[in-house]
Amino acid sequence: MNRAFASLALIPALSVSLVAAAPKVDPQTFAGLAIRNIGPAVMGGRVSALDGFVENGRITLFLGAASGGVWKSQNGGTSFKPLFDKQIQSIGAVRVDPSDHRTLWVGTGESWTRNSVSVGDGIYKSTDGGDTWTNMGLKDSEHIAQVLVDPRDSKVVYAAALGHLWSSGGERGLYRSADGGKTWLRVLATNDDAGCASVAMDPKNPDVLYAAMWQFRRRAWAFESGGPGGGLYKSTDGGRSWIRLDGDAKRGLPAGEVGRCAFAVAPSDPRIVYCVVEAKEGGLYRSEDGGGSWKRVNRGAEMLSRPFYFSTLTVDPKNPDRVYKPGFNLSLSEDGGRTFSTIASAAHGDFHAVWVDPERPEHVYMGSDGGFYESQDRGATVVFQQNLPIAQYYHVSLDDQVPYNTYGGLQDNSSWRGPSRTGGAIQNRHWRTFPNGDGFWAQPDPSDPDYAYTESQGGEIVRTNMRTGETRAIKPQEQAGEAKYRWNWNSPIVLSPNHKGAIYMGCQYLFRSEDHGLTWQKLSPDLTTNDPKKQQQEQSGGVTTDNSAAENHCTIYAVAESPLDKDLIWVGTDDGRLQVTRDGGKSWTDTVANVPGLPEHTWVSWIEPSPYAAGTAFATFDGHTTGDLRTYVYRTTDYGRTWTPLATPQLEGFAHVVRQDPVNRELLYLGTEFGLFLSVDGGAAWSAFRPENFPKVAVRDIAIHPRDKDLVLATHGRGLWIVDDLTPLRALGKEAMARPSAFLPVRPSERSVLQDFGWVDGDAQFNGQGPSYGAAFAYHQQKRHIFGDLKFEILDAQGQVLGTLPGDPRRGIQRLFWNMRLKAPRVPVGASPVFVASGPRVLEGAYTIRMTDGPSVQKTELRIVPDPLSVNTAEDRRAQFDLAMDLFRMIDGMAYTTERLVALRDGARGAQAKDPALKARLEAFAAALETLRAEYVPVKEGAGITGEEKHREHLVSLYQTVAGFDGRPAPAAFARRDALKKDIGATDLAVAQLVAKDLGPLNAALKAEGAAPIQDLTWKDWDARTATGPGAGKGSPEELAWSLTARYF
Amino acid sequence: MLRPTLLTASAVLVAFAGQAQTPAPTVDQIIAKHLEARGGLARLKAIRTLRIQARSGSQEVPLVTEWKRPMRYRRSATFLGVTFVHAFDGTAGWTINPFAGAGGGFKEPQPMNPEELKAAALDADLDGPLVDWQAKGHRVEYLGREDMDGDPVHKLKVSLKDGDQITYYLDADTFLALKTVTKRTVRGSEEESETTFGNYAATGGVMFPHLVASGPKGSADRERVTIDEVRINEAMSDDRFSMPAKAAK
Repeated sequence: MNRAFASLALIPALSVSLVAAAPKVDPQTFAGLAIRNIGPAVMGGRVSALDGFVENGRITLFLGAASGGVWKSQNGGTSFKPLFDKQIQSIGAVRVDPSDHRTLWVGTGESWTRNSVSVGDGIYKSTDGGDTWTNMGLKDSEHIAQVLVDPRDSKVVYAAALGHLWSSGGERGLYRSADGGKTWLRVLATNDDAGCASVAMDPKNPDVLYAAMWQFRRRAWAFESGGPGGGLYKSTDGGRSWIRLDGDAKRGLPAGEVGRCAFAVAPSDPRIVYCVVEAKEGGLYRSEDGGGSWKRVNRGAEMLSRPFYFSTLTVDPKNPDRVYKPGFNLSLSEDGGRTFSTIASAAHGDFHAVWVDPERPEHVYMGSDGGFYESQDRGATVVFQQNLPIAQYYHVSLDDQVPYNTYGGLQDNSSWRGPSRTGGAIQNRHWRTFPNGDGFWAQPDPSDPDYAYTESQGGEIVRTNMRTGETRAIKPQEQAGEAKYRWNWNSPIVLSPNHKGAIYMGCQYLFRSEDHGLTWQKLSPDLTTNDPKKQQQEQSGGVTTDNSAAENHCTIYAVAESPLDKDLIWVGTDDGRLQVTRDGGKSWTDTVANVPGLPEHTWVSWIEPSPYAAGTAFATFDGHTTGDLRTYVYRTTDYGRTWTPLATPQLEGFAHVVRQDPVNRELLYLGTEFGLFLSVDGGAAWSAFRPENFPKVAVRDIAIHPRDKDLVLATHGRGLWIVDDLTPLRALGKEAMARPSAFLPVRPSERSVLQDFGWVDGDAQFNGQGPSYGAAFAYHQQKRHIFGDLKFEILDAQGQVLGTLPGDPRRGIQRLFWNMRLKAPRVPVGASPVFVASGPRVLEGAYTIRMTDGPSVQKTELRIVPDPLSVNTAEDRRAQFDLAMDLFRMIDGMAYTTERLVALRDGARGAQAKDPALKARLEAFAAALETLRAEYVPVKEGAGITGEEKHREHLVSLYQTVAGFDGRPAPAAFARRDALKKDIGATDLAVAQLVAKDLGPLNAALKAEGAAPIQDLTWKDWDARTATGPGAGKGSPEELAWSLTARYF
Repeated sequence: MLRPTLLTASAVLVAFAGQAQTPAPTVDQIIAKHLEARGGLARLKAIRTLRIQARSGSQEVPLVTEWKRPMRYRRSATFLGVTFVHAFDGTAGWTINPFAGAGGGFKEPQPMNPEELKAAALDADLDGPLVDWQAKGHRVEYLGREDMDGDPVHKLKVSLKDGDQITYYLDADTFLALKTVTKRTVRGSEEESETTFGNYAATGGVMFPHLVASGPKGSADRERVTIDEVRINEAMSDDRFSMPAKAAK
């Protein structure tokens, strides 16, 4: 009975109003669909911040992922758990309060401000080690580079806020709180375009601070580091007043404009301060008098490279001359910065964070674009920890293999293929990579399962033979007289839904190939604005020139061919053109002027032609590169002549992708920077999809598997996620939701034969979650079920109950799984246990699920089908099932016989005989029974591997052999069954003869003495006594451990 | 089902619904409502012995848990023809784990290790830690009202005397526990588990969940225990809780 029923029984007035209430559609409606993270963690995602502490000899680490939240390890990095899933995933800073390790600070909004960086929403505090978080303000800072806490006073906190990246304003500069974050005072600011990129504290005199102001502005087509707002500052009074350090020739720091700089104070000698400076006279500067005077000690490439991405320093906690400089490589100086060596050369490059064990400085942790590394020898050698699923996907696509594979490209981590499921966990070893670089679109070739298309930045597409590894570069090349092709950082590679094997690519022109990229047909003129002002990437970077293809602009970004018309093609550009052709590219129309409420030149992030009507399409736009974080999603039904906005206040985050369900036209999926949103009414209303385990992460792409009906999400920061089987969601209508509880349809359940034996990999490996095993059924309930019974029984065609499952009490769609197995046979009890994991798996066919929800009883069909991977026939499986059941009955029968022998034996030994001769006969009877029992089961008591093999062991071994393979058993199995029947039958006969011969006379003699007779155990009594057990468990004592420790109140 | 308790709980719902602008409820108020929802302190305290028969997992392993005041506790599970036992006699704890040791068949009772003993001392409190929490040396903190699975709950954090923590998620309507998150320190390492409760029904005027699902926090794996029968105040020998010299078969 659910909450409504409980009320109905007791408080009629209240209950009527509850029942009559309109069905509630909110995130909980969908949460029970569940979602699983398949990783991968074989590669990393960018790690932006690290902090930690040592307590009782153990290292606790906090790791900030660039777009994957905050992770905590309490074992020095062997394993991590996410701490920050309900909050924004873009992390700029993590800081442990040095005087209270339970208090943590997180500055959201990564400060490594590359083109793909996300945004934050302020600073967060936890006072319970990360279990709960409170936003403490600075919500308009967007990016927080650092947080420091005064070691003398936990209430004094500094936050270095960069402010808005793509526009002026916001909360920017150095902020100080004197009340633990309740209020903030901006203590250092320069102008509306500059923020604080670095703050360092003298650990012995925490009122001494060094701060670097940085003026930086990104646009979609360029960025500029440096400007009048930049500068280097020192305070000796906790930020109340500042002196400027740069621009004064006497101090030694460079004159003129500075870009991104970073300070670091040597913890062991705070007079020694380092500053890496981006400037015309940039390099590494060192002061030995607390910032009074400076000398440039190094101007090597690693000090000067890409300051916006790498300006940070870490000084060894015990040696003031040992300095780590993250960069393309990780560099280490042992001589105060005069010379550097490259370390961690076996790691992925592009380092951003270093944390040195304060008690053992040889021990170093590092974060880079490639993930998280640990070194025991100061970076000479490193261990890559494959335990963090923080992959930054851009796109995902799927093939039609069984099981299907996922393909996708990741920020600076190549492109990868991995399975949607295995026979167990999806482990790091299941993934394979393609040619390296940044990865974006990756497509299997539907015309040849051996091949896939992947790319690296700037449209560098290759076609790879996945069997041999051969790759062929097939990027379209400029022809004589053509303008230079402009390829986006993330150039589209899109498959034709109508012509198997045809692919599209776009620069400013749209190309199509029908011969695997050997030749390309140019289908369009320049479809962009072709604005020359946005094509000067050679001048991008400001103080330090930086032209990496990341700012390429006036390019095609979105391409889609209508599944209903091969000549109807949509193209969206990064400079805000929304083009359509209805004649295969002969003529193009820009429809963006018809999009209401959309600022000019807003990036087209996605186009989704409807599979239901040719004139219908959906589009998303992303304005964040102009500082516009609103959600833009639209629909047209007339080929773009008019567009209708679909955004509602329930949405948050700039939009990346929209998909229309191919089965239910009202069902829409929208991926934004802050997650997935669903609409069940064609976009009139939206609801976040946020199951408990799914973080508030950017959903960059959505794929729907047409055969398996799965929804696959590519997240930029938390890898790939799968919602198995959308069937219940597609069927969720008003009718089902109007009832207190109702079944929903599911896809038929396969008797999976897939097995993956895995290996014992230890705790430092991530294991991706496979689908729940078993036959699924789904239901929707309006209210949480609190009172009374909610159970599901599985019935066979004869109405016999094969299994029972308790319901899930949560409201909304719920899905449960029956393991398709009969209960295990009752096992003969001996001195040692015997493992019989379960009963045989049921055969394919139609079964019935019966839901009992208080007084309500409903039924639905449960359809079980063979696994398409199985090479066996239905007859094979029937032969296996029948033999397994025969053996099952033999085990069950032996369980009875051995219990009967024990009952008779104990009865004989417990009989109250007076006559010594009778006593002797009773003991002889008991001994004979025990001798026969020893033919069935082991009888040597005590721990250890006794190696006794009795009838039971032989029978169970054969049962496991037969039950463990889903095909026709070998002839030897049938022969063995017959042989065992003969052997066991001989013992059974001996038992029968012994009992027939002795029990009657013995009981007669006992009766003559007036003593109670020996009670025989009948099958009926035994069967009744053991009807509820002993069960066989789920296969291991470890799994039972949870039940043994579960607390009931 | 217990009519008076539910009426009381619903009355609380009405009372709290009108308090949107009033200060947050106190720990004592929340606990009082929770204990009322369970059947009232008097009924809880009147329980001298308690026996709960349950089944665990898809193979429906039988589980029997027994309590007897003061602080006696025993749980046994029959599995593959052998029986596991966890028991505590108010002072000492012991276990029988037939799967300990190679080959199995080890049926000798063994004293609990310190971590097991710590857990058993908590399990033996048949009232639960929210009853007389001050006298038991626990600390309770109200963490506020929040959304859990789309429904409002009150969160209470109990810092146990032994240093571990249990956070209770109490349904904001009925004040019954819907979930607990337990954080234990085991040999210096933190372990977190989550338990959800459902299918409440009353025995002797006291509400008991009849569905208990538990597993590691952050994992989808849950072991589900279905409670079939609750018996109160049946005779129970003290010997059942004391470590036997030798195990029975």
